[in-house]
Amino acid sequence: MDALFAVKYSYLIPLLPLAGAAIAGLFGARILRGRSHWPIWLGVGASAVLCLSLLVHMISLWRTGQSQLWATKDFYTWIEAGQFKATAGFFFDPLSAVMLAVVTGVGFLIIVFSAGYMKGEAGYYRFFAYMGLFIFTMTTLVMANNFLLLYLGWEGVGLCSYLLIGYYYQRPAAREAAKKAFLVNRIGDFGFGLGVMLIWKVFHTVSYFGGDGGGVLEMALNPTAQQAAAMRYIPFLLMLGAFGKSAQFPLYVWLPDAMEGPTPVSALIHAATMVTAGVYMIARCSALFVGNQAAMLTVAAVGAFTALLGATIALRQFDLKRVLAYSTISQLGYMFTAVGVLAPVAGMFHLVTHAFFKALLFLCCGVVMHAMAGELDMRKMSGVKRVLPWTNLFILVGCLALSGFPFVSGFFSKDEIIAAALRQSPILGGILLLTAFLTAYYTFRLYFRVFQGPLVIPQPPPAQEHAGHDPAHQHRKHSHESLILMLPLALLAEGAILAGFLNWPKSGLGDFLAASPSIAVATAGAPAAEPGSEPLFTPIMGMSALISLAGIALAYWLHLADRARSDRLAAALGPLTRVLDAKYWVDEIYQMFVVEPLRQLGEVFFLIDQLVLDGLVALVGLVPQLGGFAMKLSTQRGYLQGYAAVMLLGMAVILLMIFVT
Amino acid sequence: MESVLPVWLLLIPAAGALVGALLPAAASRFWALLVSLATLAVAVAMACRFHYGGALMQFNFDGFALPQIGASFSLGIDAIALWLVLLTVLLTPLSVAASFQSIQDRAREYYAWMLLLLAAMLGVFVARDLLLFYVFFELTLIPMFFIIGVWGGPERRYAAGKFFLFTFAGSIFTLAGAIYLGLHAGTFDIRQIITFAQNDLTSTQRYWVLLALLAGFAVKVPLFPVHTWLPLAHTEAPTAGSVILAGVLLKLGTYGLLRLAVPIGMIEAASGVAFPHALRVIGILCVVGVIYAALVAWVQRDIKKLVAYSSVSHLGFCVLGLLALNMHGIEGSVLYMVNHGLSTGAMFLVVGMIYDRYHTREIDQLSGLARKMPILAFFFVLFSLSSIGLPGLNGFVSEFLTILGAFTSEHLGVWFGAFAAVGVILGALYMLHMVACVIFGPLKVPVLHEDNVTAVDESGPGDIGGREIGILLPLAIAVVWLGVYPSPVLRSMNGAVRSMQQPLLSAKHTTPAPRTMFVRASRHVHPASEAP
Repeated sequence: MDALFAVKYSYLIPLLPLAGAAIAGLFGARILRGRSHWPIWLGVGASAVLCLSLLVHMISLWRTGQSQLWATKDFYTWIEAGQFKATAGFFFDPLSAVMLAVVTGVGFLIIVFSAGYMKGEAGYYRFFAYMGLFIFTMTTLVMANNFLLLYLGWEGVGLCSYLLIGYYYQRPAAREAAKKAFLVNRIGDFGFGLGVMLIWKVFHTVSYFGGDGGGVLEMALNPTAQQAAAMRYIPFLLMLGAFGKSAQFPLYVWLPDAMEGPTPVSALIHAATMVTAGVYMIARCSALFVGNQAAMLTVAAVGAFTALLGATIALRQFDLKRVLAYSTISQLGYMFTAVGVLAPVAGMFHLVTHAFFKALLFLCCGVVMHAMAGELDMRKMSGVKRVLPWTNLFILVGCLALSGFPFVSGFFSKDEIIAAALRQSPILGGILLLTAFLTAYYTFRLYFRVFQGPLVIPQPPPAQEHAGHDPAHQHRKHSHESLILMLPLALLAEGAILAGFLNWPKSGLGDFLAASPSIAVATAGAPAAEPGSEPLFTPIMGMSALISLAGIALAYWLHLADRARSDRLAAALGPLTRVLDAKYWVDEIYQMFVVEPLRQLGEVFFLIDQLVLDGLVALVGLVPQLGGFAMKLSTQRGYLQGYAAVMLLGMAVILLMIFVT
Repeated sequence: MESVLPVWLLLIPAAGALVGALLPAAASRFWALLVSLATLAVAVAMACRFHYGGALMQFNFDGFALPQIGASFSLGIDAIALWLVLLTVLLTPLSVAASFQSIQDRAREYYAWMLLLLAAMLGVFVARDLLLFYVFFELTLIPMFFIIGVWGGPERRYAAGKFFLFTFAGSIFTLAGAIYLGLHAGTFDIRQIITFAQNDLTSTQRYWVLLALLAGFAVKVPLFPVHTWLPLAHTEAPTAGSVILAGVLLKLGTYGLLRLAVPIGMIEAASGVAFPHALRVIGILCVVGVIYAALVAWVQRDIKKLVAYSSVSHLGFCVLGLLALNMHGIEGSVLYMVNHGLSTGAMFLVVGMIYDRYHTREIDQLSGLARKMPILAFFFVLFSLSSIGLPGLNGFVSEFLTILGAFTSEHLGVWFGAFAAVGVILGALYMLHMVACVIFGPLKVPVLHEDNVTAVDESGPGDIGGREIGILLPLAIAVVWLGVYPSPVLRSMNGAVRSMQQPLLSAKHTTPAPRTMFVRASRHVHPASEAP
């Protein structure tokens, strides 16, 4: 393992994109300008090649039957104080290799797409600098070999998310969304940070695997009494971080607002990679989670609940990107359920397939948005397939994958999760099946409304530029399906179809992942064998295929056959529609019960500060003197030197008195 | 190791102040820059020849002594002091350079006071004698009093007076405590006084000495209920005054706590921690201060006041770390002093640059500066992130270590860490609120002239220039470097911190098993077995 080129030079994986970001950031504004994507293309491209070679080599090592399929590599001591020590070091195993391949691979495609998509934007160089920084932090997060470096990546991706959501910083909505994303994530990170501290308190290290049994995840398998007691709390603290980063209930509220960022950002950060960090982290820390029934159940239940919640809200959204955002929340819920029911392989599998098809869907929405002059309201457009024939094809692939249409990638990965959930509890499985139906429905509601039916294209508002786009960029003659946009879409679409076969029983993503020491722990504790090794066509698969088809059929009936029908249905279901339209008032509840009280408290404290604390001082009698003092100064301006001299003299006298006595 | 370098460290700025006061006004600012750079050079020379990892004072200088009372002009430096000295000599030339344009009135006196202030601050860090320490400690007040009172904002006189009286009132008690200790110990040598205090003071004596020392240092830090002088002083002070005040002067308080109040008042040779309850009470004040000041910062409408309250919040972490009395807590705390000086100092510099252009610090009057001043916006966001404690930048390392220190401390415990960590969320809240208002959003700047009613894009002042970038860049480099590779700094303090901890460690062997976080579980067992 250590001899692999990609392991030996693994520091290049994060550093090349960082170097690209630095070049774009420093020289982009003046020198590179419209060529600012080149440093990032090269940096991330090289990094992607390294990651893919790591994956390929690791698979071939695995094929040859190498027993130890992991390596850890320290570069330098990052923080060392007393007994606390955290290194800057990387850890390689199948889990991180797969994650890396997804992050840099999908990331590279999206960055290529971005060069076409963002052309002519005011802060072109800034966008690419941030994207490079994101790949740096995300790969660091994935490769970290200890909790503190993970935390660096963890907050680092949050920063990039913040910067990119706020890319159009002049729009108040974007700036508020950016702030919200950072703060909600901070709440999660608060728990995560305390979890890391508790881990260090009882394990006296923050490394995952020491190689000699001295790592946290190794010791957690045979804990001492004190460690076992702390492990009752550790998973819950870590979980809070995962819920924030991966937008799970109750910390999901930032993700829909994050759609204020440019669409490639939504695709890369808020769908394919960053938001899956929570799933990755829990899969990585399986050793800490598996022994704790309550924690596992909580993860699974929150995941299933969020899946349903996100899907129900998506039903009534009319903004294309928001539908996809709630869908992402919902799909992340599936992944959480998977890791919660001891099926991290299924979770990771869904993570991979989801990365492809959700990135594809978002990028297609971006193309639609360009063609529709920045419009995202699906009520204002229809029959777009006539304008965007290629995009129509690609988005159809994405929609089929998301809705779990048989033999497209989402079908396989989702079914594995549902099967695993059903083995654990029929309630969880039932919720996920219901969610699958809703998913198929809202996905095709979007597709049928926007791409099928009679052609309706919104007129561009005359003077108003949307999303900071250069107005010249919007004009009609410009082709909306240029090669630089379509090529990445084609590759992603291919992935969205084929990724489902990664875990075909004989090809074995599952078995490969199970060679990761983290995953092995969880699969050993699972109630039944991992689905990857089961016969493919189970009754569940048939059932979920039917459910998916039923959802698509319902969408056809309501949104293509006769669109007025859906409005009548919505009106008939009055109160329910209102609840969904209001998104369960969750934002309002937060505002009323968290933000406002805190602000009031701040005002009250400030008042206390001014009146009570200062008032006490006044009571003590300082202020009369103070007044006199200040008055003297103000009336005798110009004599300050004299005062200084007097004061120094006074000091000298005091000192002399002390010395003499 | 004997050396006269520390004398140069004090003599250069002190003599420079005297000479500068006689120079023509036009030359005084370059003279001040030159002198402060020369001081920087001396400090760098010391850092280069410093023996890292050692526990003892280095570069010792023993000047004249007063054997009648045991005081002497003795200087020396260890790793803890070294980093604070470096912070001071770094911030001073930058502050001087930042004053080049904003200070036009009575410039000669201004720069003379700045240099005298530099000498006084350095004196505090290199003093090995308690009386000398106190003299320098007080001496910092006078230049700062004038800097605020003469070159400050509209309410400068009130602010300067309040600043002076608050800190002076506190430190009178410190002086009393110091004299009491010196007379009883028969010497003012800090090291000997600590040994004396840890071994020979009775509990009552120690209690009063602790209170006396705390009075001066807590006001200086400032700790929660006695912090009200700070926001006013910060707001009214000129930019350089705020930078030095936040960057170094507040650290005199934490440094005093670390060097004197804690070892003298809280550590006892026989039993380790002398007043665990007092320790916890101060710890609670720190945590309350962290949360309280963060919420107050959030509702401020003046940028400088917001940053000032953020200092109160941040220094709560710093003191909490040193109260933890474990190595990572104390080292984190010292690093916190340096980091806070860098990032808050930098923050005040950036705010000053905005003020120089628009003559306002009102959050409501500024918006979307990123569009007009992208370079300034970059630095503003960078230093905000450092202050927020983003991993990879300096603030995180010290914040994490201090909270971890409290969290794992035998004397404080998990809840102190957990509640302090709430301050980390709130820190992001007020900082990002400010960034969102000032840097992001639609562009809005105050109207400067009658004829320039619109005050939009191309008119009005532009982005920061070479001089200003030159001021901020060293700080930015330090912020990143201490975030990416802080371990040499932390490691260099091992010896000094361990020697401070020595009485604690040797006392621990005689005391029963330390408390653990799961003490409640074991408590359940004991009463049951004791029940009749």
